[in-house]
Amino acid sequence: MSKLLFLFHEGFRNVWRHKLTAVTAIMSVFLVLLVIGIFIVIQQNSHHLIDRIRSEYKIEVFFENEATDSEAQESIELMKSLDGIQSVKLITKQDALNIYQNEFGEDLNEMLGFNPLPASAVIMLEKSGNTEVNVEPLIRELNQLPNVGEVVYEGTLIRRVEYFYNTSLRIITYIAIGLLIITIIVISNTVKLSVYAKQDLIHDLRSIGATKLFIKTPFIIEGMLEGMIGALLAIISILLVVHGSNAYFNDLVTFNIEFNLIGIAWILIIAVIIGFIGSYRGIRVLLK
Amino acid sequence: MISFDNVTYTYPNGMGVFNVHIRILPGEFSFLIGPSGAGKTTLIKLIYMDLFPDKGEVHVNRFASNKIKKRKIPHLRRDIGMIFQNFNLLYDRNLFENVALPLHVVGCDRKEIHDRVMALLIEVGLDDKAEFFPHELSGGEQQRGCIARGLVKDPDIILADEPTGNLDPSTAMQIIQLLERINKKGTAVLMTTHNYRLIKELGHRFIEIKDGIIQHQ
Ligand SMILES: Nc1ncnc2c1ncn2[C@@H]1O[C@H](COP(=O)(O)OP(=O)(O)OP(=O)(O)O)[C@@H](O)[C@H]1O
Ligand SMILES: [Mg+2]
Repeated sequence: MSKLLFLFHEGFRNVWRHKLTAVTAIMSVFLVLLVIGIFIVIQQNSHHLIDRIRSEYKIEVFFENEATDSEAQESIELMKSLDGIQSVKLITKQDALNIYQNEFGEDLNEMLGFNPLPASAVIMLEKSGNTEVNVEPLIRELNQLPNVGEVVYEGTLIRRVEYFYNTSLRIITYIAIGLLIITIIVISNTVKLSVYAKQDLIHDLRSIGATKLFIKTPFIIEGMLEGMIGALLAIISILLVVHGSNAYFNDLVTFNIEFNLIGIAWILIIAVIIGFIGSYRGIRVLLK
Repeated sequence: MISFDNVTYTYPNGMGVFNVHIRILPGEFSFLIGPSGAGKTTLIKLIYMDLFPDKGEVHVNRFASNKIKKRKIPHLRRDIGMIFQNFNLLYDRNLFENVALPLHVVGCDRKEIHDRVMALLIEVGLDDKAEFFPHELSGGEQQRGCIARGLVKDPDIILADEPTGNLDPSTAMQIIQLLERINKKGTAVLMTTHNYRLIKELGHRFIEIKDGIIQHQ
């Protein structure tokens, strides 16, 4: 216990002694985690947008004219068993007639003496979170069902939206990884400096019988501490920005930007990991 | 306690120590004497197993240089009180914390550390300077601080590599007297020096080394 206390004290002392380099490291951790935090916020909130766009992804299936409502209903049961479909709503021949009448004010049945409109089905797709929606296979399957006359859907819209969404996510991920690598290098350099500055302590500790772990721990604590301070600053800033913009845009948009515990936990986990890897790289000079 | 059996260690440049036989008994006070570059520090490093012999064996307590496992080396060193030639006190902490360092390594609790460190600072006459930083101490005081640190774990041997190197003769004499006092309580002391005049009158055993070869013991 008192050993641990000593090691923590040494770790804090390292940060304090190299204030300037420590501040550099903390600032770079802060900036990187700020960017990553914003990515996380975007990622966590973009489902509002993407879901709204995806709700436009409805597919309409028109049955053949001679198909009766009950035949249509049978096909609908088959549709429901297909993957990726959230719900299917039947629009009977009579429904279609009513809709037509509502929209155009004419009763087709009366005019023509029969109902020319086919039954149809409106299919809502499952919202698949961050995974790409690919409707082409589904369309093919729908076309093969009995009584299906025509399938109408917004193919280009879906493809464009999905392509854009996925490419953005991928680019964001690459940028984040790049930034993380840079931060790890910055931390490992500060720790390395600190190791060089502590040659005499390390020498003394070695020769009075300190284990390698004992000698290394303060430097690891140093790197993790820098990571954590940077992370806290980033979290506070993001919380401020999110709350500020929620208050400001309150009237403009219907949803609130969320930055929840999962986001905070992610930032902390990333900070601990880069702090650890960074300092571990930094003390490699000690591994002899 | 310590024995060298036909030990040879050669640095890549051909310098080193050659065919060394030494035996040091528990509680013994010995000087290791020789001119600069003779191989004194090399012998000390062989004892705390910072270096390993190319030939022969070094035995320290229950550890043998040819058998010891790497991770056991810290254990060997914990039984030895080291006083270094070049490395003195650490400048980033006060005297108390310097002396306490070996106790932190073995994980003593606060009270134990405090009692032990203060007892030794009294022993070396620096109890009133516990809070001082090394740069606030004189050379002789720093060296006494180093001795306190070497002693804090109550080792059965003190290895003092040139502890009087940068001190004036009378301060150097005080340091030797301090080591003698510690030795009277049963701790073996091996001290290196190149100053023959300082020690010739003292009547202790001395081992003389020159160009890596033991001349006299
Ligand atoms: N790391 C090293 N690499 C190569 N040669 C070394 C190394 N350390 C010491 N030597 C050489 O080995 C010889 C013995 O060195 P050592 O340090 O044991 O001398 P010493 O007796 O302690 O001298 P001093 O009184 O100056 O401390 C010297 O000639 C030195 O140049
Ligand atoms: Mg020497």
